[in-house]
Amino acid sequence: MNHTIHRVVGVGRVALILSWAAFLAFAWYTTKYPQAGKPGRLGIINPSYRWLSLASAATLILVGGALLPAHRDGRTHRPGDGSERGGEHNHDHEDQEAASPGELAFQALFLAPIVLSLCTTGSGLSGTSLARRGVHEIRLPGQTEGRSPTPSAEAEGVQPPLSMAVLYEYLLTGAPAQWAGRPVDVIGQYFVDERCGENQFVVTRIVVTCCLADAEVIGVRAQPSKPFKPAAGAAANSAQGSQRSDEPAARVIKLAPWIEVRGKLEALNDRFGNRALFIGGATVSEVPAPDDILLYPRRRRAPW
Amino acid sequence: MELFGDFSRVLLSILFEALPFVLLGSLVSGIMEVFLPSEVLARILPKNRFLATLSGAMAGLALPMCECGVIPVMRRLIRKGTPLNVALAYMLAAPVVNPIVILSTMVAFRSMRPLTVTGLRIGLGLVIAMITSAVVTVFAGKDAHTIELKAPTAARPSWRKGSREALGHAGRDFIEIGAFLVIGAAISAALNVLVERKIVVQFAGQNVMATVTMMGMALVLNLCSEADAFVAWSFRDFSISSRLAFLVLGPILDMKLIAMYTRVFRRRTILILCACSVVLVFTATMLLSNLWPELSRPSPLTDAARQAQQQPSAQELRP
Repeated sequence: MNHTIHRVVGVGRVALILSWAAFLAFAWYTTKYPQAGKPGRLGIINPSYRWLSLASAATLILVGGALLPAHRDGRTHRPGDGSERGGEHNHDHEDQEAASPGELAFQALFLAPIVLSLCTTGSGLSGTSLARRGVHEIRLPGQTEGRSPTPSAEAEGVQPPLSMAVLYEYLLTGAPAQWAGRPVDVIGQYFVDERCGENQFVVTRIVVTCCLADAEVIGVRAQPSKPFKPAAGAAANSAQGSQRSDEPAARVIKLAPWIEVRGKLEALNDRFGNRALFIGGATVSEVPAPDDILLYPRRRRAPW
Repeated sequence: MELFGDFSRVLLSILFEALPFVLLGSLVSGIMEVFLPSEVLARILPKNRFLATLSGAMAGLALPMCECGVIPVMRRLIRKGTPLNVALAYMLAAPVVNPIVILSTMVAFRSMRPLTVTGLRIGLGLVIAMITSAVVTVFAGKDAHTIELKAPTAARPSWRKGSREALGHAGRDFIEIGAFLVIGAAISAALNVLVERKIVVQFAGQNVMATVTMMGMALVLNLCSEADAFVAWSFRDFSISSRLAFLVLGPILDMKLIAMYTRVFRRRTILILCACSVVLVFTATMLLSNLWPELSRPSPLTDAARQAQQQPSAQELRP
């Protein structure tokens, strides 16, 4: 009976190690080749770390191989069979101790995430989670109520439009005030929060430094020149229907489609009359989702 | 259902991020088990207790590990007869006092006193690790852990056989620690998805509450010490001192670490470790913010960043 348990635990170890090797290799593959609009089924970590997944998969194959002979020699590990010789088989004692029915519980637990991943679809985070995290807005320094920045002379000239990547750099310190009036061309997801007034929304992107656990949402408010409504397919997710509700909870909505917003940075009033940085006079068009919906600030070739 | 999907993805992402480091730690642990004789460790450690603890705390510079990878290594160190205070000091300090973390903290805080933040993080991490390890050693006593000490072996295995044995040990460690990582990561993912950050931000203005909140966030978010500086940076409404509390406590204590500690320490030891580290981190950061008021304000910028914000008249705001 004990011998059977030893064998089952031994086989379980090897199977589990090799399952994780396959799983990590798959994670590497899907991170390297994300499906359009999704960060890949398992691509939920910064692609800069994908080599760690591949290296781990390769190492786990070696580890699984090293555990195989131990399993085959399982018979020699039975207590009291006289196979231990001095210190040479000292490590096999540990093997005996570990190969208990209790280890099967560990193995089952460790297998659970792989099973869970088979039931997990979609990508990124849902709008509900994003709303819980809150949007980190890009601001102009010294932005106060009742005041608006003066477009600088520099801004009047022809300048390349600002992208999310450039704006992200100023998430913490605030965008330089001379950017008032600068053209902007950003791609992001349509999002409406409780501060949005009529015909206002937030263009958001999810930024991941390491993995989805540290995901934060960055955003710039926008006010289009013509009222914009998301496509019918996504309308159910949008706040358009509840936008005039006075209930803040009813106004926080789920993510809607991918949009490209072009306009100029300016300070406008939000729903509560507070001055905020907006992409004013914006033209909005729905666009297909980018190859990778997440942004990775530490990655040089980030698809901003 | 939507939140369950988020929970699954966050859980998987934490595992993908942490498992390579657990595997690395398991490999180092396996190699140490087979190729590092116990007497070598005993020989290289200083006899003086303080110096031994200090050398344990500084060992992360030579053997850099994040908090997930350090646990199997520490377990093996204890099994090899390393004194508890030294192994603990290594376990608590290595995730902070290591070159990768130092670099990532400097990069993340490049716009706000990178040297100060990084220096304080290392200094506090080192001191708190040493004090905590001393307190745990004194109060938890000989019965602090559940690891059986390994008897010294006379025979040295051949390179080929030794490598196979080391990989075997690594595999067993990987499964054992990994299973506990799954428990911790699941709790962490649930909290990560459910905790509303807006509620958290409202405490940013009060120094004591901000510090407590950021310590709570460190417990809940379970971030790798190599990436947590970037997240700390993003809590721009919070003071530097409260963010330091986040940066110092996170690598010592979070949900996944507590789950993994149960595989090494007895419950009493874990309680002492948690209580001691929490009290020390809170006291140290509060003290710092009182002695150095600038740290109790959000985001003191570097001179360059400050200059960038001081705009010439053409860019002034108009009524």
